Amino acid sequence: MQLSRRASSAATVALILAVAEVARAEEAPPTEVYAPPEEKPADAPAPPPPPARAIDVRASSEAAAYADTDHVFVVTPTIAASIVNPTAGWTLNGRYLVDVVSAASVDIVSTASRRWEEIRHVGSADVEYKPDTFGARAGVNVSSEPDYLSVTGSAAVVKDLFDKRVTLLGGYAFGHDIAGRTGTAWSLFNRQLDRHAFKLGATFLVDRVTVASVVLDTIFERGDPSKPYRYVPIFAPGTEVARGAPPEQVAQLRLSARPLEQLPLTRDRFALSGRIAHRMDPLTLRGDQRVYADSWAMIASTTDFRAPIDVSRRVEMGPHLRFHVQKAVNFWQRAYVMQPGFDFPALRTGDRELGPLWSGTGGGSFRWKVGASEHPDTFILGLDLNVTTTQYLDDIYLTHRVSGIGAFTLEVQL
Amino acid sequence: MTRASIVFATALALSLSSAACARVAPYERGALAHPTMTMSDMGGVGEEHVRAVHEGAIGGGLSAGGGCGCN
Repeated sequence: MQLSRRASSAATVALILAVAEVARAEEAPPTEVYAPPEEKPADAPAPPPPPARAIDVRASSEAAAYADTDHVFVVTPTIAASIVNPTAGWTLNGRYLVDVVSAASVDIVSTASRRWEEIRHVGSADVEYKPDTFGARAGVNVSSEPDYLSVTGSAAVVKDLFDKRVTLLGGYAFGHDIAGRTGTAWSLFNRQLDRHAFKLGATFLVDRVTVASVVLDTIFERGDPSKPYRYVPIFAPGTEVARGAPPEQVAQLRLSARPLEQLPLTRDRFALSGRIAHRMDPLTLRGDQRVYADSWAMIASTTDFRAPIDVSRRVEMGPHLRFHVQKAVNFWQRAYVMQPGFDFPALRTGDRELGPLWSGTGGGSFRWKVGASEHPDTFILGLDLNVTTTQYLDDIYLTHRVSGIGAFTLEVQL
Repeated sequence: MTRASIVFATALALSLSSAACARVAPYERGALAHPTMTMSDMGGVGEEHVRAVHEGAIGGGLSAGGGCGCN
């Protein structure tokens, strides 16, 4: 009896050991089970990993096209390149774009002018150096067209704090614009505008899937930003001009005098922006909110939302929604009237973007990573489409406008 | 407001904001490195320029110039 008990115990132990051995053999990867005998010593060093690229060079191009129901068409091809040395912490960026504008808008028709075409060239470059927790960047931007030149220089510093949970940003930019008239020498006619822009911001790492930022922008503009081609219709006191009145009706109602636009010579602008991005793999939720006020008494709010989603390892797409609403500047009038003594109003504008309006944008983006399977993001094709409807709440020529912009992008890692 | 109080207020704001942030180890920051988590604007240059022209309340960028096709 004892013998049989011992025998059964030994058999049980042997069975357990056998089952465990089989299970271990099944758990082990086939290469371990069927691997040939090791030929090199066990303490041989592992082969070194492939060296990381010291310099990352990327080039991109964008072809954007814009059209709206006010007969304005813009084509904007852009090329850009960046050179990054992530180890040393420096980045060089360069960009060049051309705006080809063709317009026969209601403003042009109302002045009995022909279709207007113009080409604008913009070049920009910036350099950034951030070897550790402190970094600095500087840039320059030049925009040139036959009757307008804009030059801007900027500098900014960033500082990581608290184990990179907080990053502070401070920046300054100075811009100098000169507006002229086509066919007239700059020395005979020019209007100059200086802009001093200050930026203070902070980025917060909220948790391991959420990041947020707050930015305060302050811009001080000094000079005359009035457009030298923009004429403002003037009416006799008591004239009723309906919202959205067509050019023919305005031409019948207005006085013969038609002065140029005249805007205030100073403007102080303040904007507070907040942005949050939350990753819910494979989805990212991004929300922006911006409030704005300036010394011309304009107040505005802009809300922007995007939700890009990784549909697959190669495809990313997502919707884009935007809503903007603004109150008019304090000298805005739908119809300016002649002052006593046959004086024009001292401040007057025909720029409907300074009037009360709201706009809603809906669209989306699509990215297709077509690079090699191990690095699909070395070659990316992209398409962005957005449609905007704008409601002008107190304008003489337009009550609304629908516009669309599409952009095709190509990004390559060289 | 004295200089000391400004420094104190700034330090207090930074301390509070950092306290509101979670400690995230470097190896836990994979999701934050995703390109869509950037704090930069995701719109292209064409879209940025259209906004600068269409929204009178621009700010934070100096990209606006002429060439707006708006008389």
